[in-house]
Amino acid sequence: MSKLSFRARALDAAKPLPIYRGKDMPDLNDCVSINRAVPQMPTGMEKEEESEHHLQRAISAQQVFREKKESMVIPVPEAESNVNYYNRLYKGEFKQPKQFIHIQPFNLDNEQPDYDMDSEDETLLNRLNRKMEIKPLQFEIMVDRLEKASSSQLVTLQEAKLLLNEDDYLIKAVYDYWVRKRKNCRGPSLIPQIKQEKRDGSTNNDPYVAFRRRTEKMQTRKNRKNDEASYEKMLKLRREFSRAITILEMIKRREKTKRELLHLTLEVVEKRYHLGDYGGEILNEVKLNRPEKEMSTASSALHNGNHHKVQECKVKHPHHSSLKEEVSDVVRQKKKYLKKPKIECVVTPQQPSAEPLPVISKSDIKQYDFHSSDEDEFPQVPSPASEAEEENDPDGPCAFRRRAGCQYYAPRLDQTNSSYENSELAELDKLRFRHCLTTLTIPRRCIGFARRRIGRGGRVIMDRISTEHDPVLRQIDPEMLNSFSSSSQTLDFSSNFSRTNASNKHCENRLSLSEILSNIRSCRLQCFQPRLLNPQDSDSEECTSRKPGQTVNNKRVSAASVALLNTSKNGISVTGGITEEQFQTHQQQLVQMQRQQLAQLQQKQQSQHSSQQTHPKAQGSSTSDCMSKTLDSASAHFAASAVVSAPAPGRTEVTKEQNTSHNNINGVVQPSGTSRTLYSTNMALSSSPGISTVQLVRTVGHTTTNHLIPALCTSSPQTLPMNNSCLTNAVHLNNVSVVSPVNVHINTRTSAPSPTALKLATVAASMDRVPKVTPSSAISSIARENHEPERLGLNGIAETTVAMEVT
Amino acid sequence: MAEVGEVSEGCRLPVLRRNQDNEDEWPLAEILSVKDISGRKLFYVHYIDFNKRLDEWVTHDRLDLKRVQVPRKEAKTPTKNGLPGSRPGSPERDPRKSLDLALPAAPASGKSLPGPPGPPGSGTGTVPVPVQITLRFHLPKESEAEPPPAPPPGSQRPTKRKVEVVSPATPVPAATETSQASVFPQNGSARRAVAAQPGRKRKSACLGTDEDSQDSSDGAPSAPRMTGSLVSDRSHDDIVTRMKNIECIELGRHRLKPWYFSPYPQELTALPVLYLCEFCLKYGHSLRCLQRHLTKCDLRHPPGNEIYRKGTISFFEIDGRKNKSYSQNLCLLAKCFLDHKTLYYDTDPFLFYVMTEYDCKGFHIVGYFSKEKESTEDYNVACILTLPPYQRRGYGKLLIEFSYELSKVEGKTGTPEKPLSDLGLLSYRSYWSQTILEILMGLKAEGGERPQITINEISEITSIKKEDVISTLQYLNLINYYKGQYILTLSEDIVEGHERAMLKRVLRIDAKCLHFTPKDWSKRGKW
Repeated sequence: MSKLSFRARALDAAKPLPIYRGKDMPDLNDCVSINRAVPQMPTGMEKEEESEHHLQRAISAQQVFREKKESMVIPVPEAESNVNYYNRLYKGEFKQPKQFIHIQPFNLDNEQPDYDMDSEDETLLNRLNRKMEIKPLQFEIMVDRLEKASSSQLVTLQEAKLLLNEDDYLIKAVYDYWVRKRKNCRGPSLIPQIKQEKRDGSTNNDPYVAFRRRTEKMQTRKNRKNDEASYEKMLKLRREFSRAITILEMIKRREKTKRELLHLTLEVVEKRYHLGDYGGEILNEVKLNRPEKEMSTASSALHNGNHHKVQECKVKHPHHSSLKEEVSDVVRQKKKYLKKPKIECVVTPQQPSAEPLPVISKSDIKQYDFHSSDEDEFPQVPSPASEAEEENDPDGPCAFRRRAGCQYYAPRLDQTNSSYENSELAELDKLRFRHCLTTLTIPRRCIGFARRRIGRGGRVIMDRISTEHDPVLRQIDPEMLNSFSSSSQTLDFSSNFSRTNASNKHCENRLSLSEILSNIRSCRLQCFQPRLLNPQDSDSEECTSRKPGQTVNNKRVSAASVALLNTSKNGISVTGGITEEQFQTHQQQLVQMQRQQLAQLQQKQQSQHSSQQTHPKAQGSSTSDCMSKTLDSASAHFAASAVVSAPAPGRTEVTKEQNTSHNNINGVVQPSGTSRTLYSTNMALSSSPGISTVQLVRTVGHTTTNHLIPALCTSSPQTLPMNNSCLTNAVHLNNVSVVSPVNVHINTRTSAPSPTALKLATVAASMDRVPKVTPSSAISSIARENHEPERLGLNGIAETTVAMEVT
Repeated sequence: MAEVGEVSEGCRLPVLRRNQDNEDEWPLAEILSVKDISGRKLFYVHYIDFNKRLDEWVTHDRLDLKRVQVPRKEAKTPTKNGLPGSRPGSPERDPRKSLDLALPAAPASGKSLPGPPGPPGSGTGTVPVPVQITLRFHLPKESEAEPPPAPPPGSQRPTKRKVEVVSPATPVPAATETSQASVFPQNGSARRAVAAQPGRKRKSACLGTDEDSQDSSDGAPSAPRMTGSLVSDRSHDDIVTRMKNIECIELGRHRLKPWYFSPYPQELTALPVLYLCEFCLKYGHSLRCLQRHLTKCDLRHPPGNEIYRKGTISFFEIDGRKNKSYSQNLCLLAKCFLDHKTLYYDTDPFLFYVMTEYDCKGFHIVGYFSKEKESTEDYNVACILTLPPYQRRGYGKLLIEFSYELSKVEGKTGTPEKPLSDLGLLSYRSYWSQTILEILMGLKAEGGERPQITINEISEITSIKKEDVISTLQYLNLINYYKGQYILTLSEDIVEGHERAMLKRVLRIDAKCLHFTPKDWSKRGKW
């Protein structure tokens, strides 16, 4: 048959192909070339390699011989299979299990160290083993941890100690060896690892980087638009999970560090105990000798890049230093406040007692952000200044708290005990420093030893402590107390003092009563009653048992500034640090000053009278009248001064002068602080001076309820500055009473703002009229009359509203 | 006569090589690298037209210094690992004067490119080069060479491979050649083209020019495709990956001489021997390390599930995502013997099937193949390797057979990922041939009818992809067009050859021993 000239049809894979074998086979010459119909299939090899010599040879050989010939194989580099130590290397036998081997995929991660020891390490181990026992696995775990903890930067010895739970000497030895070996190591790690890709793409062409993550855009189905979005979400989720893991890791680390610190502290304490280092001398010595840098760098390096740093981790001093910094900060701030008292600056930090509050709160905040460099900025030796401060003020608004990382000295017994001969008293005195005998005015009873604190929102909290004298203390009769106080009124100084201390008499039954009394008299034992600072007037008037002599007594000093005097008196009595003599001289000075000022004041008043001819005089008289009758406190004084000064701003300045002069005279910061507070309060609260007048008059009116009032200082926003002033006064309880009534008033104001404001406005408008003022003082007296000792703050509020209406 | 010192990277010269028949040959070789070890120079040579696995370090006495062809240019490939900044070019790659005349456009763009900083020596140019008529293919390509300045107007840049006849006999002093030096960027295709030596049975017609130009058109190496684990010729641009970097690997009883580059940690590449744990394949730099490791490693089999066991042969399935460290170690080892394997990306989308042989020490790895969990191109094998000590003993075919058994269970046809290596091609062809012939010969005539079968049927029975069936039938020359239809003819020698081969093929996969349930990876999210 002749060859057909037509083209063969395309090969159809679905069409059956008959198979011809052997003798059936047609003559191949009859077959048509199918080259064009069935395209040559590619071999699937790279073209260049396809042409390689040995392959071509092998292919042709196969086609010729139809089977492989030895000479026609493609040569490959040889492999040997004669490792003779194989049986020694792979010890033991493995029996083939009957069942198919099935493994749990996540069991694969056993906790074996990745690091394998080499012969060099063995030498070290042999050397170390002469002194101590270290197993190869132990060594490998150590190196493994070191390697894994360090990236391009090696871990420090300090970190190594935290990482490795081994003996210090061993750690040092292994660490040093590791550092040396690591430096000589050609690779980036002693555990050989595949090079990792870098995110910046610089390693995209690095042939040694392998197993890159497939970060490129995932192929998503086109008909599902959200696929990509969800993919991204998953990525985000994953990222966040890994962040969570990081945080947990860091927490783990932190907790470990904390534990470490605890152990170390324990160790130190034990060591000190063994050494008999009770006073801390040895510790200090060691500390001074020791370069502080080491510690700080260690800690900072360990926590490098750790954002949520917690400071307590074995950083010894930063708290202390930051504390100090805070203190100095406050001092600086104080100066600023002195210049321009504003509403927001009503925090009057003159009293050191007030300082611990901001200090502590700030350092609390600081706990959450780490600043390791701080340590270097401050001297490491604990400063006695802040220590002393803390000791002087045991009952600060926020009681002293022990802080981690701070160095505390032992209490200075010599200071506290020096004045007490009696050991029993000394014991009591210890209590005294934190807890005082306290008597409440309403209900009138002695609550025993208590400590005052200012809580949240200015609440006054009494911390009571149980003592062996408690049963006695409970029996104290407030009336006894009153009688006692009134009787002791003759002594100018001890009048306030002894009144409060009277309770001591009862409580100290175990001592002899007279003994205690004498102790109290001689100002050795302190007791206080959170009562109002004006014991002479309002209190005495309300308390029937009181004698009018009290008032007379006050009238003797009836100048406007008497109130202040008393305030300072109170302050002094509480602190108990000033002797009678001092007080007397001080009082004299004060009187002198006040006279001068009064003179000044009146001069000015007169000069201002050109505009207000009739009123000022009446005003002045009314002021003095008020004073003589009611005002005995700083608040009263200010009320008066504010009233007087209302028409003329110049007047306020005078008051201010007075205050400052008082400060100077006293040499005691607290009282002036109080007055300052008051003053600024006045300024702050009174857009028109009338308001302040009303406030202050009422202040006088409610003095009896004062001890309750601090508790009323609630969270009304307007009271905020007041609260601050409360804080300042908190320690000096008598002073508190000055301010707190205002708070009450503020509360009332908030409860009924609009009418009050209206009335106040009218007051402000008619400020220059005498009647306006007198009524207000009258109101206060009415209020006083109405007022009963049992009345609570609420009554006060009610009265306030009444007073307002009258105005 | 060139001095030894003048033989530098890129030079071509005959190098003494002993072939498997223990005969000396002097194949032409290219110097890829030169190193100095205690005053003795060593040359890394690639025998042209031999597989890279035969590349080796040779001493100078094996170089035929009389016939050195010096590279013309110092080009701008980045310096790597202290190697000189020149990509080893070959002298033949360089255009000659005659060429320039034939191709006037070329020098215009070439002039601006830098010449060689150091001429290889004045004497070299005059060395008579054996007369060669070479088919040479030059592929000017902006992407690989530095973008040349705008060509002068009127000059046409050749866009396709040119075939040039060159007479290398023309002595060309190297120094004077600088102006034309870089007219033609060097790339893999140039090297390939050069390989066409006289006496080679190479048909220039066979070369698909389009293919090649596509291949080399992406000069700037970018990230390889994300699927599959084989990469085309891209890596050849990089001198580092062209050279073996591991001298010897100890694995269990065996000492293996790697064939290709593998990205083991670089600090380990300098070692005379790299020690691998036979079971977990972890690498260590000393025997002592391995010893220590073995006290901690209690694996006696690949860390996966055994899915097949017959006799001593077992297969273990390892998930590249779940068992990363083993998968990576396996890939690193395999890369030593697979040229086109890429380890660019992680192992997550792959499954690894490791074939082991059991003895009292445990399950020893013989070979493996990897497989994409989801293949878009019907690949049922990504990389496949029989470790050298086990080669040419039927294990490779066993691996292939197993891969098709898996495909049968999956109910799919499959094909190995391309490119195939030479050994891969031979193995697959052999397997395909035997499998298909087995089927064809098993067909009995029914009722006097001539047995017949469709290609699809063959594909379905064997799970061999249709294209592979056709190519095998073609290769075996079984398919013929007779009387208006295609027929399959089984000649006597084919039948005999097959029967002989099947007698030798004792290792077979027994489908009954396979315990395998395919997973639908698409339902499990990606990989």
